[in-house]
Amino acid sequence: MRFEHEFSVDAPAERVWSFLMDVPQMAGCIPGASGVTEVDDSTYDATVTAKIGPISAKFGCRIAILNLDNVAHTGSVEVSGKDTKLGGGVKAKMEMSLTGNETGPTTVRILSDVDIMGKIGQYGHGMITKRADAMLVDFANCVRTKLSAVS
Amino acid sequence: MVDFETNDEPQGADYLAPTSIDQALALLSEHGDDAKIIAGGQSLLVFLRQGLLEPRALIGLKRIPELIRIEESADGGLTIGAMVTQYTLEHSALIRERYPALSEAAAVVSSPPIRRQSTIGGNLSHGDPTGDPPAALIALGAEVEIASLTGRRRIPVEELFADYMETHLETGELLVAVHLPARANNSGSAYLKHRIRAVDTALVGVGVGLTLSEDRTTCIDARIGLVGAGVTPIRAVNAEAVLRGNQITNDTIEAAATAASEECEPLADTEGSEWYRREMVAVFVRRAAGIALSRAKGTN
Repeated sequence: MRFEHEFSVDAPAERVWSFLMDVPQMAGCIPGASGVTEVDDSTYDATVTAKIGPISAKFGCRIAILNLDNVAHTGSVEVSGKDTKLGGGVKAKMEMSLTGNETGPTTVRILSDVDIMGKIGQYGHGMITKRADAMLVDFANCVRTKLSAVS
Repeated sequence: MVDFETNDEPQGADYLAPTSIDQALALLSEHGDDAKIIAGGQSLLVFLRQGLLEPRALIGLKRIPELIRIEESADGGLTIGAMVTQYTLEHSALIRERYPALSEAAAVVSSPPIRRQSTIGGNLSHGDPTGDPPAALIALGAEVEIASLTGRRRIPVEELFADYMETHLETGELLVAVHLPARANNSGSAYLKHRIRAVDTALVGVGVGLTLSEDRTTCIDARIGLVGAGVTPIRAVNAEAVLRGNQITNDTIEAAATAASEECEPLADTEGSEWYRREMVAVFVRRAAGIALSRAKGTN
């Protein structure tokens, strides 16, 4: 599944960028994420819980930051997670880019490519797409709120 | 103990069998999220067997007499206990006569053996947006009665559903009954289901309830319930507004069908695309409205 999200943050590009590339901070905006631990300076582990109806999936995830360009403010985040109990998994690659200037506002663009594997897929493309999209929207709203709050 | 076969080691759950609603509520409160209510088990057992849910306790409702009653209510309507099966609803002469949409919906839930176990309360609590009874109940103006340790509340069926397979039932709450209003004079209802195989849930399901004026020229009330047309069962209020207060002609029915197809938000999946479901909503609203109309006129 592919998604394109674009949102505006009332903050300068530099601050938005350092927030997004600070995984423990940024993970605070991923719906259902907890227990973020550093593996090395571009790799982290976390647990992400997602619920559809009565079914909860708990993914043990590895998060990797790749292709970081701190000047152009582009980079990609790769998440690969497994739910061993339900026998499912998720692979997501998010390309992030910023446009904006010293003073802000900054436009954040996230292109996501998400694959769901295993039993969770039985819910059907329509439902999973809707839910994944909703999670990305929540992420965007959280980033915007956190960065606009402290000025 | 009950064992479920899963991919991992077998998990078990204690099966509890309260004999009254109060006992069931006490158990619910005691076990909280560790317990699941089991009614007919036709939805729950699928999840349990796949290991998608692992409750520590199952609270079975089969031994609670109050939940399997069907009674005429004081206002001339009908109260149906949550544990009444689709089979009972399908074969009830009274329901077929007064609330045909409900008997028609119950009659097409899956297959006969499943209809013997599947309950109206379980079906509603599961919140599957492609189940049949919700559309019929919305078309009939039904309400659900919800019990908890703090008392009882009633809400229209269409307000029960929050999201995909999620209802507004809070922890500790139990759906105990469905209330149908008294059948109005000059009213008729119908439920139609579109699916490829007889045992599947609805690709699209439409329930329509119409009430005509005394002289049967004008529609004084219209209710339309849709399933397979969104993340929850929905009430097509825009389509209803096209009919309500107007003469019902082929044109108004067509306009209502179009309105319903535009106001719903179907999900796409391997069974059908969004476009296809919208088309089918229009087709089946048109057909169901026609049947409801002839029943309201008494010409069916």
